[in-house]
Amino acid sequence: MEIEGKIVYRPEEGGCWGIVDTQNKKWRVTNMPSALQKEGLQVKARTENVQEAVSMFMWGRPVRLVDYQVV
Amino acid sequence: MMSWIYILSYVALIGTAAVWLYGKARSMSVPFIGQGFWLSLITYLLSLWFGDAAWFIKLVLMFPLDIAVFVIALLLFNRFVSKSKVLFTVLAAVLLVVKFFVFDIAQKTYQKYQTSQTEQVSAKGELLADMAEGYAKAEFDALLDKYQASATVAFPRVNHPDRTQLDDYMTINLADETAGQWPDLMNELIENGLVDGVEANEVIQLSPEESNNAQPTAADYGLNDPGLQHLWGFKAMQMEELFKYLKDNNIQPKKVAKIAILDTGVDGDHEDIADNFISTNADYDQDKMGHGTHCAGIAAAVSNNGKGLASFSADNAFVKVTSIKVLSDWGGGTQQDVIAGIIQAADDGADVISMSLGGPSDDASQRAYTEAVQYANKAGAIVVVAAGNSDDNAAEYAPANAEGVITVSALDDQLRKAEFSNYITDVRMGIAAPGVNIYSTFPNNEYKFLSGTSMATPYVAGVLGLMKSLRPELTTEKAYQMLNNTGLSTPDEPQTGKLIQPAKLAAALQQAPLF
Repeated sequence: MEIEGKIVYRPEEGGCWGIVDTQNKKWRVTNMPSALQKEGLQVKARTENVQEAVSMFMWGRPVRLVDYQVV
Repeated sequence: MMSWIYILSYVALIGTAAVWLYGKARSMSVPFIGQGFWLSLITYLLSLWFGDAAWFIKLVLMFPLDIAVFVIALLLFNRFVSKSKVLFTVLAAVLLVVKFFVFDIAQKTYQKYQTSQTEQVSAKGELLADMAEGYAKAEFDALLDKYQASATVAFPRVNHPDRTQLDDYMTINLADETAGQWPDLMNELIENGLVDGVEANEVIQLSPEESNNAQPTAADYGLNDPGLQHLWGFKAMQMEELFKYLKDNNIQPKKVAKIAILDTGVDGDHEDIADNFISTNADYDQDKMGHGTHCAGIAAAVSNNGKGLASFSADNAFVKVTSIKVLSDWGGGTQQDVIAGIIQAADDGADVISMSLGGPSDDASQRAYTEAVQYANKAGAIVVVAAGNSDDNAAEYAPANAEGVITVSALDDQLRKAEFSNYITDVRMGIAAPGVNIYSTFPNNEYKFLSGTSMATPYVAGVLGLMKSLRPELTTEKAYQMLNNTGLSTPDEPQTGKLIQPAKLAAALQQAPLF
């Protein structure tokens, strides 16, 4: 799945990284690389679903990053 | 600085226009006067735009007056340029005095009036200052001495200073004798370049009730747990009333209720949990992430042991807490794991099942969770679930939307909906508890502040544990009805539900007929 949007950091529950896409959908990236851990960075990312229906973060839909490109 | 640019550019504007008129009257060509005029005009407009004055002042008073003075000055100049230069000079000087002296007084008077009308300054900290980078500390200290003021770091618990400027903020307190001089101190801080910004530390009144800003102390509760000073939520929930009620009425539990924390595990050896902890399975009694340990402390920390924080009774006689690990060491899990955990908790006799977890919902997941919750309800357990942290509708998150659960939103210390908290408008049993900057236990005898609906949820689980210990027959429906009836209305109640009030709840429970 392709996602385009900006990187966000959510501090709740100890903190997690995600992407808010152009439709304002929230995606929690379970393996956000350190190179992308900059709030506001615009990215195009290829992701896959993860077997993690629930989490303590309770923010966004969890995905795993396969490939990305900084826009 | 900006005010000086404004004055100079305005004088230059009049000057260049006058020189141009003079040259025209004498049929002389003055070099660069056109460029000078336009440069002055642009500088003047920019300095006006970015000036410190209120927009009302700029648009209604400053700009029209500037135009009027400009036009009158040029008309006078044009009229007298070939006649009395002395008279022109006098009139121009009078105009500029009016502009920059008389008007300045009027402007300051207006701003002081505005300030007195809109700002009620906190008695605790009169000013909140964003200190300039590398500010002159000696000069700052001298200014504090002058106003008999003291300064403290405003936000000492900023965990990620690289992501915020809040760690630069200082709270400045003035002595009672000089408290009224805070606007003067504010001006001096700005004029001396000591701050990037400074504002009155305003008192925000949510209702006619007293502010909850005061920090509680252990003594306020008759307990010796040092961390009580960090628990703003205890004051909001009027916990001192609960402890007093239980003690004065010699309230005894009918049973020791068990609260199951379904999470990342719980550090069962933690100094402030161990005495209240029951092990379900040794594999669940470790917590690499810390999330489950934090939640367990909120629900059932050992009170009055001289360590950490406290929970819902002073003598620890009402509840015990256990751990069922359903999330991985990274904080994620599957629906299957969670449902298995609910079933295990119910089978092991949990009275309250607390789940600070969730994810986006679909019909199938909602149905499956509802089944599991019904199973737990039938076993006598009340299930409490976090609303979620996405500022979305909790009805779109599972298991927050499952039938038969009590869904918990988070409030901040102003008793407003936490900006991240999902809203409970469309779930059947929504309630609120403190969920921002919550101090609680962390693995290896540590303590930490965390925020989230995860933190609000075990507060509700803790008070439900107390309820179940007093009235073991209590059902979810009846428990929610009482939580809601005794809860405190808050400004965002339609989105959050009412804030739990344990003392009122305990009293109502004692007086309620048998269920």
